[in-house]
Amino acid sequence: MNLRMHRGLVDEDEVVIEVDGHTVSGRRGDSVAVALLTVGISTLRHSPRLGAPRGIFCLMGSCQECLVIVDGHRRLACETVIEAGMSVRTTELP
Amino acid sequence: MSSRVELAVLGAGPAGVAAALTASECNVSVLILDRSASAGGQVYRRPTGPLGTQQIKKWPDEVKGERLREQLSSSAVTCLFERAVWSVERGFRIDTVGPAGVETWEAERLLVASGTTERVIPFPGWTLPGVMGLAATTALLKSQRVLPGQRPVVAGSGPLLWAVASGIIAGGGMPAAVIDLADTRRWVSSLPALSSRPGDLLKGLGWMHSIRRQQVPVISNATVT
Repeated sequence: MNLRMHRGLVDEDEVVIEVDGHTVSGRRGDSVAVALLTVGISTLRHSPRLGAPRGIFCLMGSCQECLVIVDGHRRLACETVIEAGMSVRTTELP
Repeated sequence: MSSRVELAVLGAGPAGVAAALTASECNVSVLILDRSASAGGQVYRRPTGPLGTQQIKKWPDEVKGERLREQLSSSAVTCLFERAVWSVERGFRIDTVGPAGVETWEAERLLVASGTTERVIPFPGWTLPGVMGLAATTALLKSQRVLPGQRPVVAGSGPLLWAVASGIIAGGGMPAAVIDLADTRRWVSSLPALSSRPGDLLKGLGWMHSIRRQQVPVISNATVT
């Protein structure tokens, strides 16, 4: 399922990151949220009380549901632009 | 700490930028702060990333957004992006956090143009991954050029519902259904008010037409429960 509107992107636009030990190919300018969405990763963390899965919701930095660990720091997936070699951990945070 | 300015504007969306430019034209020293990497707010969000070989038509808002950013960058306004304001104290003392760490700014006057956030009425399952707000979807479509899904159900009320459904079609997706809280009667009864803004009315009718043309099921007077 290709969710990207821009087809025929060239190789230079590829940015490879690491997500939970797996290699994920994104595109220059992607937020972490978008890079994960386009490869089908939708669960980013679990709620602290019920352990319910959570994912991107507001995409403007207000709901805090897309909190992930990026290179060891807590970051909002929707507000963090991917960089080559970036390491992302999902589902570790409440 | 930077030198004290006469006016600090919090938020570089259309309102904040308009205020900052107007004040600057009156020779007021202005500082504008925003959490995003560029001006535009949610409406005039700047698209990120490269363009594919298959060019996509620019959104009308995109052109307006570019103009807004050009005006701002050619003005005397000091722009500070990627900074979230976490505290404002008397004075005014403004504390921000961003990639440069924690910073403090001072201004004689303060103008808050922080905009709005989407209010989603909760329904069972609304926190499940895969469910996202309409405004979130516009951010995806406009800024990242990505569809929320190939066949999403689009539910809600007001113009954004139709803007999102039509944006998904324009981007190559197809809504499984459009679920409108309002019924046709309410749309008709608001026509007199809408006709005072013919440009907006036409824009809305264009969205609706693009959805009808694709024969997307439209369910009126209904909500997700």
